[in-house]
Amino acid sequence: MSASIISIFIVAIFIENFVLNQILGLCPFIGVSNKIDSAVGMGLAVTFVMVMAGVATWSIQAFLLVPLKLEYLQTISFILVIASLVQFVEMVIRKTAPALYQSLGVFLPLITTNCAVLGVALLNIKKNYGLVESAVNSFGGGLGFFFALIIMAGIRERLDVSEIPEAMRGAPIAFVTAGLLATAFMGFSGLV
Amino acid sequence: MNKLTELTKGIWKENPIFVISLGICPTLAVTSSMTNALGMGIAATFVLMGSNLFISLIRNLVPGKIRIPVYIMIIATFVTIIDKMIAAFSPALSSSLGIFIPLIVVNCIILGRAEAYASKNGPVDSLLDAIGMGIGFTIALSCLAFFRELLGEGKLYGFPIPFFKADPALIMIMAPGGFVVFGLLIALKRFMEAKGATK
Amino acid sequence: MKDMLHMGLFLFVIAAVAGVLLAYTESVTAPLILENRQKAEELARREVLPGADKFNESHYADTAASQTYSYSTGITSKGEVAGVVIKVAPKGYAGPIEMVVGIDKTGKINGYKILSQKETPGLGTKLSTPVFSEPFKKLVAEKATPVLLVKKDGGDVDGITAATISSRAFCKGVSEALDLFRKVQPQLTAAPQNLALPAATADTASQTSTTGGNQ
Repeated sequence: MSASIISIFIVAIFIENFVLNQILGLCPFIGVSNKIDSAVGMGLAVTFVMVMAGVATWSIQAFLLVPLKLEYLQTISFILVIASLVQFVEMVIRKTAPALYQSLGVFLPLITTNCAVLGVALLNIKKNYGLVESAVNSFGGGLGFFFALIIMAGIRERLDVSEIPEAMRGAPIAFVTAGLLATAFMGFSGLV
Repeated sequence: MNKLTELTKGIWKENPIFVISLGICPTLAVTSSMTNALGMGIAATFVLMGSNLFISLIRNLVPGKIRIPVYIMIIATFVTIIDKMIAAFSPALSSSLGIFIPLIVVNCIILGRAEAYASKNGPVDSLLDAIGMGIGFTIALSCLAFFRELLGEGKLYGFPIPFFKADPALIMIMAPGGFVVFGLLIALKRFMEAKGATK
Repeated sequence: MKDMLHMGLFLFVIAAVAGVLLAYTESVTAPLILENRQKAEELARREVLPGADKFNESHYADTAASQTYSYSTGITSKGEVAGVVIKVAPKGYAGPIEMVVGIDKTGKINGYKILSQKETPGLGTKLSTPVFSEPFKKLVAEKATPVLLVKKDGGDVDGITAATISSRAFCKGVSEALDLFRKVQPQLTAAPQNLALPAATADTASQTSTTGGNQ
């Protein structure tokens, strides 16, 4: 049991990395990876929301949608839950930890439309995970996103000072870099 | 003429993927084959048409403060309808697109067009805008899929292409190929535009 | 206050319209989706066990391991047991390889079909192409009891070059299916007529609509 939990965790971080393997959550990955500071903030915020969303949506699916045979409301209820969750988290952080809010605040509203969050919620259900497994998978997914974002930000800080052909500057070179990173991450498959 | 520009602007000048870089999340992952790209493009176009038309119709009734939740609800409804339709009428496509269909909900293009266009314009213009953006989206996806499927599998729409079939570069249909092809295509479009501007 | 009421009411109306629309879509598409799924499963079963005319869901309770396995029993048009179709999901290179294995009543492997997999495209995925399936078919046709290991491990199966883990997983899956078959074989030949009945006695063969695998 515990071995399978660990393997879910490792798989979520490295093998099925949301950004580099599943190609989800790209908007913030490309948008917020200019500076390491903001990448850390975004990565933490996403990890946090992903765990909350994973648990909340799993509970909704198990305790509301399935017993009431309303599975067809899955998409609409999940996205509404995620949106309200993000609002709620923003409010709580603003009230309780103003310093944290200062650094995370701007990223929070963006997370609603981060497809990695909805993606992890849908995948938890699709893979028939239980509550603990869902939470672990969401946490691993968030951490994987966090790592990918930070690695990318580190590389992009160096790219800024390099000479790059006009047309390749910005997003294009970021994508090519991401491609190389994804190739490196492919080496992790077969790990578990 | 004016109506025509509403339709065509999304296809090249304001192509939602290459220019605004929107909606890349669910697009890259499904561009490993032309069939998937076309399926995803059509699904997204239908959702876009439904949401744009509906939001444009109720644009004067929605209280400003709650417009985003309302838009998201409308979009999620259309996405679910399309999702079920595909599962019912094209099970093969449904199993190859998988969770990427429900993920259309968070595709920034749909909400972006709702907020930037449909909430300010009439239903006819909004519908044309949706069709144009949808076609642009489909073409952009197909462009990516063209290179990925051809180079990665030596096929197009599942049909083997003689010369490329011999020894395909598998990495193109995996995640890294998606990133690299997309990056190079944006660069190519920028390059062509820069060249056109200097003339 | 009036503003709040207005907004609440508006959200409610939108949600209600959405709910009605979705309920209607669901009522139209749900039976079709179910039918598609059944058709796909039926097709896979027919492909791996061509001799059978219809299939019954059966269960086998392993009292020693306190586990219940499910499999489908294929019945010929004459009402005899043709064999069984067993679903297995061995762990491959990048996740489980879900497949069904058809075994006829004498214990001979009739065929297999990969249902879903995440193996490396072009390497592990060759499991479902003729490159791998043809030699395997030939092997099971020629040898009565092939050693289900890749040649590298001293077996009879021609593994896929550069995809040994996938090939090993495949062999493991097929062996698993054969193991289960040996356990259920007595109940197949003992009471074939029971199997054809919708509700047979207790544990031996009860027809239910389970779709799960047997991990």
